[in-house]
Amino acid sequence: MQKRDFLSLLKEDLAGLVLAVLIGLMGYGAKLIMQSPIADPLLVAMVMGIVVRTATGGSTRLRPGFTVAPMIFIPLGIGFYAANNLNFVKFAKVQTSIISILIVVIFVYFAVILLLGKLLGQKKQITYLTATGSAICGASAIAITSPAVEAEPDDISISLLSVALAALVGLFIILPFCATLLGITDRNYSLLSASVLQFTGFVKAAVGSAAFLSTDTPVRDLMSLALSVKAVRYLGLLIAIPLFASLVRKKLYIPWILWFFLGCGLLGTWVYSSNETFYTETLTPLIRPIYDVSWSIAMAAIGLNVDARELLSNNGTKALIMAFTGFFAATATFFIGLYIFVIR
Amino acid sequence: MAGEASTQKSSLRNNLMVFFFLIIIIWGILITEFFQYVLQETLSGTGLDEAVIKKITVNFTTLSTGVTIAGTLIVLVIALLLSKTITDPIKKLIDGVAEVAKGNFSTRIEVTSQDELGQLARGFNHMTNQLEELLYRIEAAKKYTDNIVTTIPSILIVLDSRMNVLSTNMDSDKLKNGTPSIGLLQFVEPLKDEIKACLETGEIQNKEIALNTEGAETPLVFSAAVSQIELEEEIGVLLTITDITEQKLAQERIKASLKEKEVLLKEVHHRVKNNLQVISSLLSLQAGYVNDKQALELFKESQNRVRSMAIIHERLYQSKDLGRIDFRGYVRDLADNLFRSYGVDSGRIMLNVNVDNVFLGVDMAIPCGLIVNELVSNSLKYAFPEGRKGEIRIDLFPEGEKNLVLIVKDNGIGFPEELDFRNTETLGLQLVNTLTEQVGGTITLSREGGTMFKIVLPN
Repeated sequence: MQKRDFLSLLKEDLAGLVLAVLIGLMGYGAKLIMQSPIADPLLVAMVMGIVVRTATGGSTRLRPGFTVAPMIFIPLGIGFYAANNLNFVKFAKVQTSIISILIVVIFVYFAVILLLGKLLGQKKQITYLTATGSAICGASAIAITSPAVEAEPDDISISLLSVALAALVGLFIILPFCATLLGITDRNYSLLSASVLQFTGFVKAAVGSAAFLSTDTPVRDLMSLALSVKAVRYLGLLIAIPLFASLVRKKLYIPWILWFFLGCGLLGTWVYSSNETFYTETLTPLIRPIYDVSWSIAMAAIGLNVDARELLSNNGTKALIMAFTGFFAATATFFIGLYIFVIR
Repeated sequence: MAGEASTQKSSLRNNLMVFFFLIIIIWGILITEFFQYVLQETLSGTGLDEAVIKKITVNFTTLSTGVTIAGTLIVLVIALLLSKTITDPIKKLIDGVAEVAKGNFSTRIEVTSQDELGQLARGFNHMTNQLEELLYRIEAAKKYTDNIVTTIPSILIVLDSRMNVLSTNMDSDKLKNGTPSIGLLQFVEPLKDEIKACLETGEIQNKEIALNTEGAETPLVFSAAVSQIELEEEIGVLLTITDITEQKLAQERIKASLKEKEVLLKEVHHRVKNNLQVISSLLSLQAGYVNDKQALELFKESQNRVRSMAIIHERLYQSKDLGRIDFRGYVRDLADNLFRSYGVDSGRIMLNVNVDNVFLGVDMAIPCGLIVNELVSNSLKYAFPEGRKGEIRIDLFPEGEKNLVLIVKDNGIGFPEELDFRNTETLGLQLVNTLTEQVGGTITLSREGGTMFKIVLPN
């Protein structure tokens, strides 16, 4: 194949790239305007992308740009995300009992979704992305894992929408129902949210609305606890990425993205250990918008590349069943773990 | 097709379920959140104890989320049942179509509803009825054609344009004479040029060949006709090869029989001629004992008449065609005989015979011969008295498609005016009239420049 020069490539990709960047920025802008923890910029950008694509019918001229955008912006976001969230010092501070519950919850999430994927005959990529998005950290985990499992835009959008819907139902219906029915404390509710809810924003929203439960702990402390527990789930990526990348290729495979993710995480941990104030007050507010914007652009491009009819396909229904079942199983597991490790 | 139906990418039922689920869950979330907000706003202004407010809030949350969960489950069950009533008939139709696609035209769908799906199912059943009937007719027609093709005593071979054999009805019984089954190419190879010509011109080609099989030759007649190849747009050739051994044998038998009859007929004509010759000779011998001149004349005339018939039989058995004689040669022989019989010098009376290439059957030749005999005899006897010179002319030619014209003319003294040739007492002219009438002809006499009898005979 004849190699094309950089300028011709840029010319070919530019229009699609610019549109993806615009929609990504709008998704991030929506988060800033709405000031709501559940307005996840990645989810908003992807939904906007799908809406634009469905409304305009999708231009083949723009497609090269939509394909290139995730290839640029996902790895960029991964680096900054790892530096901000893969903090090994913080992980070490989490209680062993909570880590134990988390490990079991993550395991149940993976086991149930993988098993259902197998039973329902789901496409591998969708199964792996749904499992990672549900068990670890929603849209971010899907964004990080997608290049490693060679996912297509349809796989990413189906997985992300299914996980988001399960998270939405979990946040507003399932968790409040379980919490009030079983009469758990606001601390345990925070732990529950941090352990089973998929999106970090949703965890924040859940903890923020936990005030109707017992008020033993201030909301600020609850939030800190929940976010530190949620952060531990990011470690799951260190297992999920090589595991699913190898399963897709049917051979042991450790993608470079994992080393990059780990390296940036270690770098962030080192900065945190050296200067916690700088890390917390300067670095975090600086790099957080970078990965949010990067991934919003990538998700917008993915949304722009998605055929909305795919979301109503059998694969979409199966992904929905997998995400919901995984969520119910994980919630039940958490309550069992809570009973074993904390209440008893 | 059935497999496709079950592994399809998207199904109506799934879509309906997901749709109902999304609607109810979003509705539940909105209602729950709205009522919680209203409740909190209402309770916060009542001045109730915070613990009581929390208890009410918790209970309400449990209740509202519980109702949403229960509502979702109920709606899902209803959606499941509802979608089943919609998708089950569609599934039946899909399965039915899959069966038809597999060729099972007896497939029918049970119809109970009167709605659009019911109409569709009834339409489907009607369609399969029609298809089944059509198939039955096609199968019957095929069976009928197959029967003809297999029982026909010819070999049929269908070739494509590259002369590949596509189908044949050939088996060992097709060739008579116990000829064993022969490879198809043996038939095709000798006929390549004809097949090619048939393909190029589109015209039917026929050829007779002899196929050498195990030392014996089998005569075959083949015809090649351009034919549409079954279910394809390509044009091919239909070869029909028929064993004509039986026909050939029958033909040879007929030929032999004909030959035999020909020989017999010649023999008959020969014997008749001989017998007539004998009669003529007897008359001649008998005339030797007659002194009366008139009686002698009568003998001579009779002898000439017999002789005129004998010449016909002589010419018949000598000719290749036993049914007809060449009348020109006959007339010349007859005239020569009469000239000899009456001792006429051909220098004094010239004979001019102008007969076209006319062939007459025995039925016509004998009366014509006798007529010519009588008229020429009359001319020789009466037209040129006292050694006059002159000419006798005999013409015979076709007039139109239906008639022959015979003219016997002399430039002698002319037929006596007072004599009516139709009512004479002479036997010669009576014979002429009778024979002309017998063969359906007409006779006219002209006395201009001599005597001319014109006789028109039906050909």
